Amino acid sequence: MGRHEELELIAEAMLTRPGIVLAGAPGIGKTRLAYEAVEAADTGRFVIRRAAATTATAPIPFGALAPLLPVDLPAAPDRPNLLRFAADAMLAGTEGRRLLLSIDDAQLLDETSAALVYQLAQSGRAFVLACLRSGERAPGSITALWKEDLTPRLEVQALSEHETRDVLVAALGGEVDGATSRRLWQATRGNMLLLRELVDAGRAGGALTEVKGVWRWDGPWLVAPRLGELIAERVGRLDPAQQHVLELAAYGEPIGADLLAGLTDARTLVDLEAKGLLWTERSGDRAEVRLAHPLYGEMLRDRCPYLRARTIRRTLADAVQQTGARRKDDWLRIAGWRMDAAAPIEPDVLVAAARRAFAVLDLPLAERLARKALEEGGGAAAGEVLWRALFLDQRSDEAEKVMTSLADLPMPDAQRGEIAFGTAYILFWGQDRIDDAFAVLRRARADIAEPFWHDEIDLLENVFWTLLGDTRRAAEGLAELFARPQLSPRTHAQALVLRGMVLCHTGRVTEAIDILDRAAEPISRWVHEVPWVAETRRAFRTYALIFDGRLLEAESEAAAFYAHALESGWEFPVRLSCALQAHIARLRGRVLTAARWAREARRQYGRQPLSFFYNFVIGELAHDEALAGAAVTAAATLAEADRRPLRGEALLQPWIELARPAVAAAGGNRAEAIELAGAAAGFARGQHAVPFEALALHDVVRLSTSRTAALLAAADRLAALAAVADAGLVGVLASHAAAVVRDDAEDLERTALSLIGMGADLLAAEAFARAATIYQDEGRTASARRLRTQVALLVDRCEGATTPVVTDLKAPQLTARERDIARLAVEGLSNQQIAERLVIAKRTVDNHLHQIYGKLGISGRADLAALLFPDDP
Amino acid sequence: MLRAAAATARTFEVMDRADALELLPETYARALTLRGRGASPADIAGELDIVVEAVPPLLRIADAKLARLLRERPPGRSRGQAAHESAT
Repeated sequence: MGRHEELELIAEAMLTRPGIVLAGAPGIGKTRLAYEAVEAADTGRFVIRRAAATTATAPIPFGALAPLLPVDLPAAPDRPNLLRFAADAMLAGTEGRRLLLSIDDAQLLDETSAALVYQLAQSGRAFVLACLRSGERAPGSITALWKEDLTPRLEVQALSEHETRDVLVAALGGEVDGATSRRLWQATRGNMLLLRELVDAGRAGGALTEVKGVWRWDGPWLVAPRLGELIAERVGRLDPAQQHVLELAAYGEPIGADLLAGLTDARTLVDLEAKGLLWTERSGDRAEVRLAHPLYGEMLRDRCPYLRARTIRRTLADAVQQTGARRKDDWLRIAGWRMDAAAPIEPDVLVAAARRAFAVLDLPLAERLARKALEEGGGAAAGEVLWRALFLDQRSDEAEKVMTSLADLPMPDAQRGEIAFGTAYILFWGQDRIDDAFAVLRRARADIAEPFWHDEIDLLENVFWTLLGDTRRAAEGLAELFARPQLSPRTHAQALVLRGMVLCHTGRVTEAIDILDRAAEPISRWVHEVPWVAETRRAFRTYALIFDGRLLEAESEAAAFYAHALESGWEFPVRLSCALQAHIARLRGRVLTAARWAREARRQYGRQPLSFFYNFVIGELAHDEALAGAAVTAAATLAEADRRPLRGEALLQPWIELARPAVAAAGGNRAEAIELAGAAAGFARGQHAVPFEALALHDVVRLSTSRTAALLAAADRLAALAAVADAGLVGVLASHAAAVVRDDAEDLERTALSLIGMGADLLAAEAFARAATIYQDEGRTASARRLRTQVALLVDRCEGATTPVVTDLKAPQLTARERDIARLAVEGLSNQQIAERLVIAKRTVDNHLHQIYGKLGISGRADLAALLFPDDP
Repeated sequence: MLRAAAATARTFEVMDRADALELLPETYARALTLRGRGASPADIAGELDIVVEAVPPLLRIADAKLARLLRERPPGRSRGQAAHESAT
């Protein structure tokens, strides 16, 4: 799990060397690696024996190896003879095979055992697999193994983030939510033992759960007793002063080094740093102290008695307040500590802290602080932060209650505008009460005199029109807004983003990208007040890239967006970036990857599944499942997306409409699929959503088997759209349609190349497949065969995608095993060498290659190289 | 033409080395970077605080992990953009 390369190196050493030493920090996973290597060893070649050295066996001659030696080992007059007898005894019963001796904690071997291990390796009759802790003194005979170049020494490293994810997926037997995988990696720093213990604790405690195939950790870490002991063992013995400093760091990190030194003595700090329990890093012009491992803090807080924890929090709050609380997060931290310590706090401090918590999207803390501020008399200012935190946390009903409770409080225009804004947001998104949302805005516009709020309210109306799919009306409203001479900077920045969204949706992508790029800097200034706008800007810029056919660029942007979203810890961008990655993966033909992203997006919906673009995510999943050939599942998923249609999400409805033909086609209903594609095109046309209309019309073309009126009309309309649209994807789809109508195989080939250039492998495969059929009908069998091979190679990248066109061609696909074998054959390995590398019989390799040649229509490995790696010299 | 198409497609599959290095465990990434700058095994061992004999296997694993990332991971932005520009 996550150690493929290490296992390959060990497997190779088993064939060529007398052993290998695996060194590494405690818990890094070397014992597990050795176990997996031994399990994979060929028992026809090796007799496997295992031993483990301990501190108890260290002083006893042959202590660690005693279980493997006969009780009646003959007394030998001297050490060489003793070792020879012992070696013979160890090798007894191996009968032509080699001994595979696996030793754990080899640094604890007694000298005699170590000498025996060395001798066994040197004789070449055994393969020694020794694990030892890095940095600990090992017996001379063991260090001689690598110093005399008898065996390699492999330093086993902590898992990287993506290796951690691989391990989690394998261990949990399902997909793992990206945020969970990242948190686990950060908490364990890739240490296999800690990872296992944390996962076990999470599963046992109900924090790590699986819903519809995706695992996710909700809530704080759980430090189960066994994990606590493991961490405590690493922390080691502490004197009271050291314990105090670590506890201060556990509650206060990151904490200024000077501040911490003022609460303790410098020597203790130095000692703890030397022990590797604290580390210091520069942050601007000051040094900040952190615990060396995130889980140390968990353990220390978990074990700290309540009253001591309270004193520590008060101490920290007093100390930071005495410094003048000059840093922007200081009041947030002070309020948090005081609240946790049940100490009195001024409402103004609480409101300021709640605003700061909201700004950094720590929604639970923002909520706690705002509620406390309300209790302490913080009034409408506290309520404003509270509704925002609840709204972003998808708790619209609770947010609405807050609004209702605030309505009667006396407040200035600014706060009334804010309340109206919030109420409209909640009604529109949280409850799909569209008319009520508009009514609130209209009333507020009449009641509030401040021009800023008129701008904001008018902008929000246009946001609503956009989301209702009335892009024309929104565009007109925006034009009127931009014409205002005194438009506030905040409204202007948001209006730029909205304009970019409308342009993107209607297929004017160059302008969309330009305006969204121009909006980046202005909107960043308001990110603490309207954080969702910045995320939406990023998402729509990526959609514009998709509609321009720049799928690879979009893929890279979406991946960066996802990474940023995970860092923020806010579900809204995580969900958006997962959905984006699903769209892109599907358009690229990676249907299983697309489904994985869509499922991860769905997993973000915990409490209120019927809101905030849930249908859109589910529609995408249905589309992906359909393309993967899971017709029944896809139909059920689509039904779920249709269960509660939301007026306020009409802008995203085209994605769902595009899923319908795919689901019908997967179910074998091609005629219905064509009809549904036509209907989807009509729906998109109603929104002037050119890229969506083009995709739907293209579906009509793809799915049609003869020159029907629907096909011809779709191709004509696509040509008309391509003439006016500024979106690369539309142009290529129109070219494809035109070539289909003309039965022009060479144009289809050209279109396929354009699609490959975009990264749309599945659509390219379909274009090649059609061209191959035309060549076949024309009797040009060589060309047909050549294209079939191309189809096979493209479909091979599409993770088992099933579309009618590809199925029609019965495109041969290589299995994962066949691909591995083909790659090794191309690398120049003989069938025997491939068999050894993959630890399978040579006859199996022969059979696989025969199968591969048949599928690809070629006669030998020279053709294979040319097909698989045509650009290699 | 098809050969060129396959070559283009393959180019798209290739991820930037720099992007892939970022996904490696830190020690591997540092080892490869140091080697790339011409550091000797002894220098690499000193920098990474490991015994010098452990450097060759470490580099080998690092190379293999990097190669796998370059094979399996999506293309990096700069490479994707360059490929797109050359294709259009």
